[in-house]
Amino acid sequence: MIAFMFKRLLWIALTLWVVFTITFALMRSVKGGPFDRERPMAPQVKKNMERRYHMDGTWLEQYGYELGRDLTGDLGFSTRLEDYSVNEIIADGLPKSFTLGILAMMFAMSLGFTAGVISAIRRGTLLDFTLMSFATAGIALPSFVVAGLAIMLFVFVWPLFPVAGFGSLRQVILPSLCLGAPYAAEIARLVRTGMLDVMGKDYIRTAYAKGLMTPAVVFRHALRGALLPVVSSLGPAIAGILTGSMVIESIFAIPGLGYHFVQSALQKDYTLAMGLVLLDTTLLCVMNLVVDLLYTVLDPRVKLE
Amino acid sequence: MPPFARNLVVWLILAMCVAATVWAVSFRPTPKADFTFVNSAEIQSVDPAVITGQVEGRISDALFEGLTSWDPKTLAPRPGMAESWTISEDKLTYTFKIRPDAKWSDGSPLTAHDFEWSHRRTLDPQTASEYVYQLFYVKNAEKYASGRVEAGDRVEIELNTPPRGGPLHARGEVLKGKFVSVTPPFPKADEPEKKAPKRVYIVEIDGHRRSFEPGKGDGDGGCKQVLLDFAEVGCHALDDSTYEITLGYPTAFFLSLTGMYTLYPVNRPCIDEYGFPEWTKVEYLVTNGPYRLKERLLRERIRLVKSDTYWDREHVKLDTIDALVIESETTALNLYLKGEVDWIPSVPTTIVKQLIQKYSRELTPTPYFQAYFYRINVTRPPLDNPLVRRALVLALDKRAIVESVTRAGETPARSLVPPVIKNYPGFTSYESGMCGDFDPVEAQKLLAQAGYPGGRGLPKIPLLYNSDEAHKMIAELVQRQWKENLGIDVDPQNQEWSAYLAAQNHLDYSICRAGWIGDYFDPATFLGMFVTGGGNNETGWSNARYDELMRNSDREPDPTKRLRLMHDAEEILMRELPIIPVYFGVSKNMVKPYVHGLYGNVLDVHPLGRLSVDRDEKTEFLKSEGSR
Repeated sequence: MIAFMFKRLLWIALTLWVVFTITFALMRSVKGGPFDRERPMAPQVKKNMERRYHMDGTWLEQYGYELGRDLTGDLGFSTRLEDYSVNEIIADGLPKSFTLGILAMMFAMSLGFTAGVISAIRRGTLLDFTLMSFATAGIALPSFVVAGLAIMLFVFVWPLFPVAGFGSLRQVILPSLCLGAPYAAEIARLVRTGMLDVMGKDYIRTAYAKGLMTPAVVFRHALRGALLPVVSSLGPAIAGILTGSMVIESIFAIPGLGYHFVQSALQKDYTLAMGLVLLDTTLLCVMNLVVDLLYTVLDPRVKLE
Repeated sequence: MPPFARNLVVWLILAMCVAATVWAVSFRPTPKADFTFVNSAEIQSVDPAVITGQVEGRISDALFEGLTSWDPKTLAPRPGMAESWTISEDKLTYTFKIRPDAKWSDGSPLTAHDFEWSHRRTLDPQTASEYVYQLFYVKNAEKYASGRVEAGDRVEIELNTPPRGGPLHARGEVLKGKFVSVTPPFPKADEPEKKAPKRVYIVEIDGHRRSFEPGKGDGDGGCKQVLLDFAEVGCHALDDSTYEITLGYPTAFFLSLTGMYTLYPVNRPCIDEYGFPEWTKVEYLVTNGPYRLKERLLRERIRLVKSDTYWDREHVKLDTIDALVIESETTALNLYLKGEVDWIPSVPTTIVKQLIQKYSRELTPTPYFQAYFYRINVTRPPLDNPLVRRALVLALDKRAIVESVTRAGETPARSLVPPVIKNYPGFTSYESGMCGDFDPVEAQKLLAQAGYPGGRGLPKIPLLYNSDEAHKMIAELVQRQWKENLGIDVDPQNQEWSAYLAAQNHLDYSICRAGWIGDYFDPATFLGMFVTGGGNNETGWSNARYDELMRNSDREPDPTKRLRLMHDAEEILMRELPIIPVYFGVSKNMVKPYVHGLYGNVLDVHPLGRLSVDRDEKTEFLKSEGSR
């Protein structure tokens, strides 16, 4: 176990370093830099800015400086939001993305599991067909369409929720529903497939033969077996949902990290973009590790290697 | 793993889910402010010395005040921190009298020395102020900021360590002396250095020659920088209440500039104590304007509260103001229509016409000091031929663009300077414009003259714009018109913002979209762009006569003659056409009728300190909204 953890953590560190290097090279190889503005800066002013952000050296010097600084946990200062360090921006945005992400995930799981189980039990009925149609639509429809429809319905036609903003429970319900919708659909389909797979197995037939009622069979025996594929898809999904969604955040004016992610890349905010990429990589690696650990809990046959 | 441990883990995960949900749904909502508006983007900074945009300006104007402040309607400079001023006969020396009741938000008095200190800070290369050139009209200011000194100049050397016992972030101790030489020497002014080499300065102090090396550590000869002695720069506090600014040459609009954020005062003790950017944090920030910063939530909101130390607090009507950070125009409009916000500074172009019809009281587009045009790279054939450029201009029906794309009452343009400056003899109406009107027949003739009859022999011309729906629609319309009227093939290409800027800056384009908003209310803010080698020229165009006229206008003390000189320059620009004027913009503020003090003006600047909300009108309005 300890050896396994040690090996995995080493891999995470290596992954981070590779991601750092690729991101560094990619950002600097595309056209435009953090100090290209609509009104071009005088060369002197630009030089002053570059000095302030330690971007006046050669690429190699910058690489060394940035890697050294990031290793100490200090991600530097944003070149666009000049009053903030990248650490501050993450500390500010992450809890907000988490709030939205957690609610979205709870919603996705409760809806996804319910729909998946019902669909599997009532396989081939109209109910199954309806639920799965919704699920397909949930996966296929882009989130700005879902969000637009939701706003039209629940804000203007039937005024249940406020338009946008962040700061009260009512404000986050609609965005988290929209954010969670495709995940709910995905989970529903996975649960249904997993359940159908398991329901045909011998041990389920045995359970029925013992005279158990359907709920007991479903929840004690079938669902467990159907859980594995869901759990393995949940890892990356949680990492993605927690770091925020650009579209949902901008439509509902949620001050999370998703928007920073896209904006920092567009504005060539090297430091902020790098910080967010590293954060995302870390989260993804950690979630994958957690999933692998969970496997051993859910399935006694799995052993850590 | 034993079964009980397995169960434990499952329960633990469930408990974590519950805990996370409980944490996620716990909020502490803030009560609504007296006035809420949408400030489109997160501000670059609170520090007025480093900011550049309109979004930042709105917050900065509320938090700080300069020597003068602008009238919300006419934009004329009015007394601000200075209660009065005199201007010398030769228009070079401005003497400001600081008002006795000028105070910082911590209660301490604000003096002329604060202005001197702040203006020096803005000029200091270490501040890295992007708009520092707004101060370059001041005598020797540019020389100070550039750090290029000449033999015999008085210089100041900033050492690495602050004066003993001083605050942590104070400026290093300063030595003064006479500059002797520097190795390696500075390059010529027009040869930018890619990477500044380590320089060693020789300076004579009290008869002794000493060498200094910026960037070297604390040891002997190490220092932060060597600059011109600030005493040589035309900014002097004569005493606590008298501030004198000496200009390099008469600058007609300088008084207006003193009301611009780049020239605002900042609090020295606060900055010395905490340094940049720490001093901008809500808990430390000390300001001098009508409002104080109460709360700043990144990408969420800025809460302003009325300052109780501001000299004119009697006329500040609103106690609290919320500036919401919302970038999506659609979301902003939704909030406005739902009554969540009282003012949005722009509306989506796609439905602007319908909105103007439906909300004629709330949305009244006003002419704005903004021009939309295309830059032409005149170094690239065939666009280096003025005949081709003229043909392109004549073959463009700009009226079709404002009528079918922008649709908010923009004026089609036939010159560069927007027609909003009184006494400027330039453009007054579309009919009397400087460059030719839409004339496809003449355009075809010109193109044939240039050697491309019917567009034959012309290569496909790429047309660059930054990714945006409205720019795209305009570019496609232009493409169609040139195809129909001249037989020319145009290839509209879009790039994301910073790539587009880089392409423009490095002349890596043929024709490209551009826009410009005046910084101050004077034609020079537009025409100054196209002087030879100007940072905003970006067309490769150069004309000696144009440069001369612009230079003379800078130095001309008589306002009428000055405007005439600039007008002559603009005529050259419109004859040579390194740009294609398209239209003059309008501001599209949408404001609730119960808000007072917000006037449409040509710079689209709306000082928050002058706003008020009529409670009765608001109640009535909301009632009628509800019944609608």
